[in-house]
Order: sequence, then structure tokens, then C-alpha cells
Amino acid sequence: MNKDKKAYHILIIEDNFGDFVLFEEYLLDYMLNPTLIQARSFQEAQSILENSENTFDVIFLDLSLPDLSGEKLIKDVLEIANNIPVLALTGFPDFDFSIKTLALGVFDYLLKDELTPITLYKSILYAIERKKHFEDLQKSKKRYSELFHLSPLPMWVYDLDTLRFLDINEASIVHYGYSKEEFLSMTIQKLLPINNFPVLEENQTKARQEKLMGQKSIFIHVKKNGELIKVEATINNLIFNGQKSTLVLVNDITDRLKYVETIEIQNQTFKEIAWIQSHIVRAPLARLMGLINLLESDTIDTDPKLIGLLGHIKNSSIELDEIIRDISKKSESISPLDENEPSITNN
Amino acid sequence: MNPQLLIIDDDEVLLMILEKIIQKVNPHRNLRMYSSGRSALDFLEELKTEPMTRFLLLDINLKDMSGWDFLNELESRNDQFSKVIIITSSVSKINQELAKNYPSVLAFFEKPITFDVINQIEQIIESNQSLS
Repeated sequence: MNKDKKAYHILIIEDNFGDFVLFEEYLLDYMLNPTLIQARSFQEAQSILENSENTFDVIFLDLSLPDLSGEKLIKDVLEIANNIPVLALTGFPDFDFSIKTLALGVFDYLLKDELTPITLYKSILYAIERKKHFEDLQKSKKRYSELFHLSPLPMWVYDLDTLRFLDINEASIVHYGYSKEEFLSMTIQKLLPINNFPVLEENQTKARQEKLMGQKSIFIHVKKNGELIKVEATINNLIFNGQKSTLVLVNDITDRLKYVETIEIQNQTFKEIAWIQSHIVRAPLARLMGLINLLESDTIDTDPKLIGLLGHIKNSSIELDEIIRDISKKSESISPLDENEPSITNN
Repeated sequence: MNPQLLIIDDDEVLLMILEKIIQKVNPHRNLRMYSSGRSALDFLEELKTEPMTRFLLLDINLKDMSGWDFLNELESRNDQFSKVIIITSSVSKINQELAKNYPSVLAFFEKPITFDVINQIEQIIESNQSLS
């Protein structure tokens, strides 16, 4: 038979020499070269595990040791085991207690009398595999938790029925000024000025009908210091710890709106300037050009010097006219004047 | 037949320029100048019963009313004899589009009003004076 060549490191906490020898024999049936360390008491196990040079794939624990036993022993070992799978070994079948040990965090519960080389080998492999899955799960749970807690945008989860905050991320605490404890003891209504309540109720109804997938709504929120902000909230239904709840992602758009408002004011000013360009500035120029036209017809036989000067004035006015027309054309193409523009009522 | 030509513009300098140019182009032109829309409308009200075509050079940027208000009032009077030529210093295309809504408007000119423009206006008067 081909034995498992992997270098297993196993700690067995067992004071009975006979049981230990049998255990070792069973192991060697399926493993080529395991490293088996024996601890005869809880204290010895503790000093072995505290030495960081020792690493183990699994720990076997006899539930009755000279210095500690039963539930207390399990708890203490699990604490120092530092996520290494712990498998309990016992001489007495006690079904209720075995269930309890599993609940405490023990990976398996093995009866010494029923132990065979194959069941021992299998339980070691299972424990190692289960631990890997468990770690993966922990990692992904952590990753999703971080997505929530480390998000630069405020996020929270609230109960659909009570409107209470169920979870809140760091960005919300920084942005709104409430502490985590304050958040978790209040409802989302506290963030809303009175006039936003109808919107909230509307969203509640939609949320209950499960229509709120990624919907964006604009709310006015109040920070703890009383400052009003405009936010764009993305709202999603979520089952949080078994409760029907709502996940909210908030984007503060107060500054963005201010920015847009500034641009709109500037745009309005720009339109007014464009209107002045094409209507007001040109009026005196047109008058000037008319005068030049008149002068030309009056000065046919006079001083050629004067005629030359008149020509220069005429050319300058034509040049200016072209510039004004150019500006007017450009401004009209940027913001086509609609029927409400002053050009109709004032001109 | 020498139809009347009314010039309605609040720019006194322009009125002076136009008067001189028109006198040179057509010394016999029966010319009247108005610096407000209201005074011109009052005069036209008096002429109401005279079945004679008259021509109006109308600025659309008057002080007391816009040229469009002026045209609207003419339309409401059902004045068939006043034919309008719009003159404006604005270079906005929108005014030209708006002018098309008024059947009484014969032409549209951007200022300055030069000898060339007056010659064109004289031709327009020539070909429209017997229409009504």
C-alpha cells in the first residue's frame, strides 16, 4: 500500500501511554513520516503551542487530563490552538456532550474504542480540508465586510420595518458626525428633515414590494451638526442577519450641485454678454458706418488726404463689424437663443 | 404717384443720415420721421381711411415699444396699406425668422443703411406701390 508521504505535524495531548502508542501505530498505517508530538498535560500542551517554532496541522485532545478536563479543558485548548483544528478523543460515549463539544468549536469527536487506522486517517484529512474551506469562507466574509466598512462612501443597513440602523460604515460616521453607538440606537428618520418623509414612505412601500433594486433617489439629509446636505442614495434590498433590510449607499452631491449652479449662473451671464454683443454693441457701430457712407458721398472732390483718412476709418469700422459678427455667430452656436430670450422682447 | 415713406427709429443720428441719403437718391420722396413707435402709430391711425399704400422703415429696437409690438398693433387694426421694411443693428438671425410671421413685412435690412440699401429700398417701393 502506498502511504501518504505528506509531512504531517500532529500534536496529541494524551496522558495515557498505551493510548498514545496505539494512536501512533494507527497513524503509521497510512502515513509514511508524520511528526507526532505528545503532551501529557494541558500545561505541557500550552508550552508547546506557545513556542512559535511548532506548527501543527491538527491537535488531538484527550478530554481527561491530570490537570484539566471536560468543557473547561476544551475551551482553554481551543483558545491556545490558534485556529489549528482540534479533535476530541474520549473513552466514554456521551452523545449530548459530544454535540456540545462540536458547538464549542471542536472539529470532530472520536471514541477511542471505535478508532481504526482508516477512521483516524480520514478524520485528519477531513479536518485539514474543512479548515481550508472555513478559512476561505472567513476570507471572503472579511472581504465583503471590508467592502462595506472601508468604502469611502457612507453606507448603512437599516431594518425595513423599524427603520433602525443595523450596521453602519466608517465613512458614514465621519460624514454625518454620529458615533457608531449613536447610529445603532437611532432610526434613519433622524437623518431626514421633516419634508423628506413622504419620499421615505414611498421608498418603504417600494422596498416591501421588492422593487428597489439599485434605485437612485435624491434626499436632503441633516448631519449631526445641523448642516443640510443633498445626497444621491442608491438603495437595495438585503437580508441582513435574517432580517428584511435595506442597504443604502450615499453620495454627497452638495458640492457637485453648487458647482453646477455656479456654471449655470455663469452661462446665463455669458448669454447676456452674447446678447449685448449682437444687439447693443453693434448699434453705435452701424451708426458710425452710416455716417462714413454719408461722408464719402459728400467729399468727392476734396483733399485726397482726407479721403485717405476716411478710407482708413471705413476699413476699421468694417473690421470691427466683422469681429462683432464673428462673436455673435459663435455665441449663438454655443447657446441657441430660444423664444424666451431677451432678443425678442427687447429688440 | 409718390407714396409716403415713414422712418421710425429712436436714433436721431440715424434719422439725420437717412434723411440726407434719401434726399440725394430721391429728392421728391414724401418723407416723415418718427423717433417713437407711438407717434407713428397715431399718425397711421389718422391715415386709416386713406386708401393709399405707405412704406415704413421700422427699427425693431425702439425705446417705447419693440418693432414686434408695433407690427402686432398694425395687424390688429387690419391696416392693409402700411408696408414695412425692417431695419436693425442686430446681427441675430432670430429676428429675420420672426419677421417672416408678418405678411406686411416686405424686406429686412441690417444697418448700416447705406446708399446701396436705400437704392434697394427705392426699388422695393417702386414695385410695391400699386399692390393694394
